[in-house]
Amino acid sequence: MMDGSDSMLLEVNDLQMHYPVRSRSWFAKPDYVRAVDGVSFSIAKGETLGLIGESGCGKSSVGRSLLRLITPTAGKVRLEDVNILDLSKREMRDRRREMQIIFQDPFSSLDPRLTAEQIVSEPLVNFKVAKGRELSRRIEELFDQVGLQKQHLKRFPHEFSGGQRQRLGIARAMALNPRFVVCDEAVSALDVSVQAQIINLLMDLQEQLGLSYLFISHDLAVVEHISDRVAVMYLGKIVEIADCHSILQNPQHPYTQALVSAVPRRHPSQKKEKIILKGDLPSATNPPKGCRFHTRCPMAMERCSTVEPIIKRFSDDHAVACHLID
Amino acid sequence: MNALLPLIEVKNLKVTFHGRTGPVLAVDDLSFQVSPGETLAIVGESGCGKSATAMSLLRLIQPPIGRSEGGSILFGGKDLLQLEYEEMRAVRGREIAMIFQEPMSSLNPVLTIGRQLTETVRVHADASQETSRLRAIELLHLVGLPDPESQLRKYPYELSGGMRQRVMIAMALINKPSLLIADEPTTALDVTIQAQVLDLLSKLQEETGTSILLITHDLGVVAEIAKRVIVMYAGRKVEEATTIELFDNPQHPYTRGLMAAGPRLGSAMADVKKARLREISGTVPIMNGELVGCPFAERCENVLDQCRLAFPQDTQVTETHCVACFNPNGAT
Amino acid sequence: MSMISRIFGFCLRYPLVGISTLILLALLFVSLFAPFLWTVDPLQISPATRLRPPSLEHWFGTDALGRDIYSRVVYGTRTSLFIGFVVTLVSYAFGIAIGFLSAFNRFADTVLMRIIDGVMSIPSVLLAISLTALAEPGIWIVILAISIIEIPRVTRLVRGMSLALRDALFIEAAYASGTSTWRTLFRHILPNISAPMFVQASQICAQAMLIEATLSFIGAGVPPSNPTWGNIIAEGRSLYQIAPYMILFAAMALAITVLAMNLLADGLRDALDPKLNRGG
Repeated sequence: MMDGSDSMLLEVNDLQMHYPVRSRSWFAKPDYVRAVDGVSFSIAKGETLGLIGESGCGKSSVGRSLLRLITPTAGKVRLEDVNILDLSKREMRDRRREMQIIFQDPFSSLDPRLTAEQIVSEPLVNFKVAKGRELSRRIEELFDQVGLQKQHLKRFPHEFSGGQRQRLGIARAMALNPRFVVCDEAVSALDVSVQAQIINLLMDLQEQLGLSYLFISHDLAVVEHISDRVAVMYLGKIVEIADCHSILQNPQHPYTQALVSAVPRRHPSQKKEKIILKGDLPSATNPPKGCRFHTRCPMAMERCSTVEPIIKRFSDDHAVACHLID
Repeated sequence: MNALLPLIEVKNLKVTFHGRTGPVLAVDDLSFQVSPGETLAIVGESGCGKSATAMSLLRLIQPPIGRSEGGSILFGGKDLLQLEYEEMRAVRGREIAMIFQEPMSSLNPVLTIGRQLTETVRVHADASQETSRLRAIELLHLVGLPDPESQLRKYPYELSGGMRQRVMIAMALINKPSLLIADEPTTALDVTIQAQVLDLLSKLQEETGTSILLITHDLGVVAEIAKRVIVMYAGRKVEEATTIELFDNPQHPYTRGLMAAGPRLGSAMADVKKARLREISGTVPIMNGELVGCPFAERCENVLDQCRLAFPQDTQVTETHCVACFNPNGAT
Repeated sequence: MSMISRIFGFCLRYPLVGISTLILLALLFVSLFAPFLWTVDPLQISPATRLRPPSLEHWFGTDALGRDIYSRVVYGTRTSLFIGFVVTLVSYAFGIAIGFLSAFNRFADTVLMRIIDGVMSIPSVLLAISLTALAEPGIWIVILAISIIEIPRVTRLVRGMSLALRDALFIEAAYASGTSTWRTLFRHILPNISAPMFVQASQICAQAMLIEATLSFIGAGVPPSNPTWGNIIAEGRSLYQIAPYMILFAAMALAITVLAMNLLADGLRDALDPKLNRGG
């Protein structure tokens, strides 16, 4: 889709993640939840790709697949020249130095029995990056980088506020100097004023360390703020991918249009034409035939229920999977 | 403020929780009123006391968790805080109903939707099996669930989050309450579903004339459906205004901070590197009763010496707009 | 000094833990220093002084063979505590290993859980009797028999809690940080399930002592020559109407120990609750 030039850090090709569902009887054919069903994108060095979609669209599964926290059923994930899905367990463990993740929930992503210092030192100890005095120096440096103080070192997670916990999670992710970080709803659980602090921190770190982010979120405003490009997911597929500006100003896919219009207005007197979608997300075990969105699409045509649209380039940096574009 | 008599009037409400290390002040000296048919939003961040306010209206905060320490809640000529248990129970669900953030945990997972709805109808209205079934279908129809009759046979887990929230709204509307308290009703929902539910709430209000007290952290939701807003910070009301006034002319530094902190949709320009967001530094103080003065002082840009000595009185900006701040305009 | 005051403060906050720990420490002292606690040889038969009621000379009286019951109860403490502790250790060693294995390996889980279900479906005392019947009677076979009964309970607990934790975000975070499976098990999972395990351990210890007494009582336990509380009670069984002191003291010792263990379990449940303030 995007040109595969050398500046690309990560390239994902036709990624699939089908979870088996326990079937009703021992003899029945197992069903699969098609959480991710053929997703391709690429992320350049220092770039942030936003991945947006509603709960159950498979965006988190994409993030976890890239780090092999879950094993995708098919596809390729190339970090520079290496397809990380081909690596052995041990080789993959080494690769974790380069790929990290920041989780959504700062309450359950930190071990309640460890101190802040122990939490941040874990990756450093795992890879024997530093020990003794060198280790403490590195931890203090990391604390400083994410805006935590020395006096926080010995505290337990429950003694921190939500924002501070998220800073701890970020320090842990940054400890090994990764090149690529998945932010899985990293600011969604935070209050607005704290959310702004964390977004700023993530953007500062990106600038200082030249990181690439996959920024997964359901919040269009946040994604727009931090991302260079945005991919919109619906029921396991990317329906539209473009630079930030085009997605917002010129959304092509009816689903993206609905998403953009559903964002609450900034001012009560602002007139906003809302596209209110009917119904709910269909089940990913048995997705609709044809275009997966046709059951809720206000512009569905006959063809949409039979032929699945392929993602096509709409303009220079803008691709859409919709029959309306032909 | 309004020629009509207020439907509910809260005066100097004070709520404390019993924390591990001593009492924590959740709501301090809060006064407001809701007129019939209006939507009032209470907006603030976690721990600001907005949910505690909502729950104390229904007297859901009881020892040993916490208690309402003072003030009064006048509703229909009675002070809710003085009612006997049985009298209060008659108010709950009948005159004041509440919907919660997480519709899954508010529904009984082992009973069908129909059973839960019809039982609530029968408890309150003493109706026959068939009448209550029809009423349940009517309610589900009202909240826009497709094919209500078959929904009655479903269990909560078979419904999506948005549908469960609709069922909760239907259940809250059974007795045609005069006040509906909605505590973060759309926070757990996706944007497109949030749009559906907000749309539903404002339509229902037009049809039934219920007043809505909306508790939310999201100024966007406020802009969508509220007529008036109260901004709370650390248990205190810091600003109150009509929604238009608040968005046009926010007075309190905290309100302004909140508005600036959220990323603005459509601010991205092609090929321009993003600006930093305006953040409010620091965190919310712990209200253990030791703090005098304005709780926002430590994080405030416009802080004066007097801010640390006493909590500022409400200042009227217009007839419908007041702010509790010594220095809203940033004089030094 | 500060250590002592901290322990003191802890006991004040959780009196159940304090009291039961004191009782258990006293019992441990008794069993360690049994020879120096004014005891005589618990096995020495003296037909001349049979069935004497408690007196200054024989504090708890003497039994049908003229043996000093006080000495027998004191020495019996050794056996009972030893069996309680060893059974707890053994069942935890195996229980944790099997529990982890079945929580993290689906195939092993299917097999192991069926075996465990099988063991749990046999009445525990029956199982112990048949095991002790198969071998030379002795203290180790009793320990083995009781451990086999207790292992499934530990396994169930460890497996259940590990399964709940396995999908916790901080475990996933540990994997993402390159933590090995072994390290994750012992650094993240074990500490987080330790509180209920301590609680259950004290229950298991008490249970083991009771089962030992039961086995000895029906003659399937430790050889009758060894003084254990169960044996003492068993021997006094036929004469308890004329010499109730033969059973009374051993039964009291057993009851107090089991009570202390159960109190400890209850107290630990509160003291180790992660929601309450820890660390100070």
